[in-house]
Amino acid sequence: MQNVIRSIKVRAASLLTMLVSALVATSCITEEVAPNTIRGNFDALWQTLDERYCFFDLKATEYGLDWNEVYARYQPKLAEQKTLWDYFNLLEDVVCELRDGHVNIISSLGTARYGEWFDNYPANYADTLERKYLGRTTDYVTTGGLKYRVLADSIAYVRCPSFDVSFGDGNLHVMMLTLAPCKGMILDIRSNGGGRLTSAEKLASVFIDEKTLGGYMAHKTGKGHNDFSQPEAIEIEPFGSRRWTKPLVVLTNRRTYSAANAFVMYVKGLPGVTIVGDKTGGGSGMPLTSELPCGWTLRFSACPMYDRQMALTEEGIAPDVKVDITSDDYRRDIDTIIETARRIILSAGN
Amino acid sequence: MRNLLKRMAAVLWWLSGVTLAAQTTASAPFDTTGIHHSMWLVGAGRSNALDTYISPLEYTGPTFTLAHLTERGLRRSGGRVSFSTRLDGRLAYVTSTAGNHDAYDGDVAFAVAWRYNWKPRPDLRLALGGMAEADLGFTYNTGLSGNNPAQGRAALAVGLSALAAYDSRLGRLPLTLTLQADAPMMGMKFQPHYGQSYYEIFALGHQSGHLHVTWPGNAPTLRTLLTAQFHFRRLTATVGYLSDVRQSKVGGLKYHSWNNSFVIGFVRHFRLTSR
Repeated sequence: MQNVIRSIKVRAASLLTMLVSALVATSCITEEVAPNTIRGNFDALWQTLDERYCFFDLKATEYGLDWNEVYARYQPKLAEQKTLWDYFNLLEDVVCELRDGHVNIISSLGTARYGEWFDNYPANYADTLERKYLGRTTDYVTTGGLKYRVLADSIAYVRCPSFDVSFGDGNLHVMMLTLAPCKGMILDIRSNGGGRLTSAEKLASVFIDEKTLGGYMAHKTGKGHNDFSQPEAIEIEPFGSRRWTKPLVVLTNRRTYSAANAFVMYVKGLPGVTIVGDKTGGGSGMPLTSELPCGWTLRFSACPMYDRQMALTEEGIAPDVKVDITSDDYRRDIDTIIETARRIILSAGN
Repeated sequence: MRNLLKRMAAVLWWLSGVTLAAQTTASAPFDTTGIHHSMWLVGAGRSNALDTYISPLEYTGPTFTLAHLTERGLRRSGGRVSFSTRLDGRLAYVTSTAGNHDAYDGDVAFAVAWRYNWKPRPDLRLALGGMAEADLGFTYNTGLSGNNPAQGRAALAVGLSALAAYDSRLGRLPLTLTLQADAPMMGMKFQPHYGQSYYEIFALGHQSGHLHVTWPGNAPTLRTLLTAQFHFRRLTATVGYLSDVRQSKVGGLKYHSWNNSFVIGFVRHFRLTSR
């Protein structure tokens, strides 16, 4: 009897081993990829966006985007493309159907991008005007990606051209210490195309005194247009060193985009904060990247961000005070937006 | 169809009976003297990597491996049970099928196994048992910048471990041919959600639902090592072939790392003594 039991055990063990080996040997996990052809790359582009882009519902509501219709409209045009440039331009037209600055094709021919989110609007910024207010090199301080000086009426002017930098704690502490005697601060993030969300949060933390809800973030959980996670809170801790508690005016224009748009989302509505200038460009979908079969990189909005009221800011955030730089003021070397900010700070002090 | 299935069942039944043959060995199936067998291996070969979190394209290129394996008999088992360990590290430098982007893909794994040994013939040892493994890995794409250029891997698993060792000679030189296989059967794996960034997980602290249960149905993985050990007077040299197949399909994301390497190394035999 014992021999029988042992026999069964040994046979069972051997069968199990063979079964596992066979199962693993025959279970190859692969990904079906379209062929590296004109049609294949087009299909891969359309399908990747179909499965991973996060603003289809918003775009459908805004201007009636139908992604299936886009496929049907562009697919017949593939045969007409004679050169690689023609083909690249056609794919650029496809991505521009999404009207999203975060959707790009990056290749050796160039970067396909949609620019009407700022092309169609006044610039409201000029580096000649920036030079007038910042002054010569010796008139302002450059520290950790920021430039600042104190203007004649004891108002701090801080220029932040990009969030694609890491702000050091020491840099921010010294800047706050230096500017502490000022009546208020103008933080100029016009034409700031974004960068690191962590940097936007870091700078926002300087202007809050307690843990503050900045907004919400979600991500796709599957290939369906509505497969999203529950949005989770973005909470910003106050800066661990010297913070700013006096009036703050943030300057924005249509090229305030992506992480800079997120910064505006974090600080708008906080006590003592006024947003002045033009509506931001938006770009509230954190982008991820993928590849087409030919190796061109595809970037697309993948993780939507919402403000405190759970509203999407993909189309931009309106300022508290809408101001454009007038033609006259350009001619007179006056930045209307900065001057408006100065009046707001001075009147807050009275 | 019914006859075919009957014949397949009969063949499988016969194959499973091979290990029952000649279960009358007079000697212990494995070592009872407490000798540790320690094998160091270095290897080079070819890797095929895929991680759809980063890219849908397969990346291929050279892979390099360093491994340390040990085995010893447990005296209290009377030579029937052996305990083994495996520590291996692997690094591959791979290029996309499009040829314009590169990536580093690597893993470090540590496993322990207990196997029950049989000796159906004096020159053949078979062993089968269980193993537990911990694995850390990464894939970093140097060409795709952005918010998802890399993926990290962390996994724990228990599974099956098998070994067959056949003693022979090459002329006058003693030789042992060994085949080892490890297959995780049940485990846990860390992975971001389908379209989630690491920024959301680690900077914002949105940490839930990242541990996934793995089993051969969603993570078929098999590691096979075939070696020939040449027993010289003072040295045992080893050459062999390593197949390291790691795969997973969880949370809408697919991953595979298929590695085939030629390995060489040496084996040391020593006994630990207490003072």
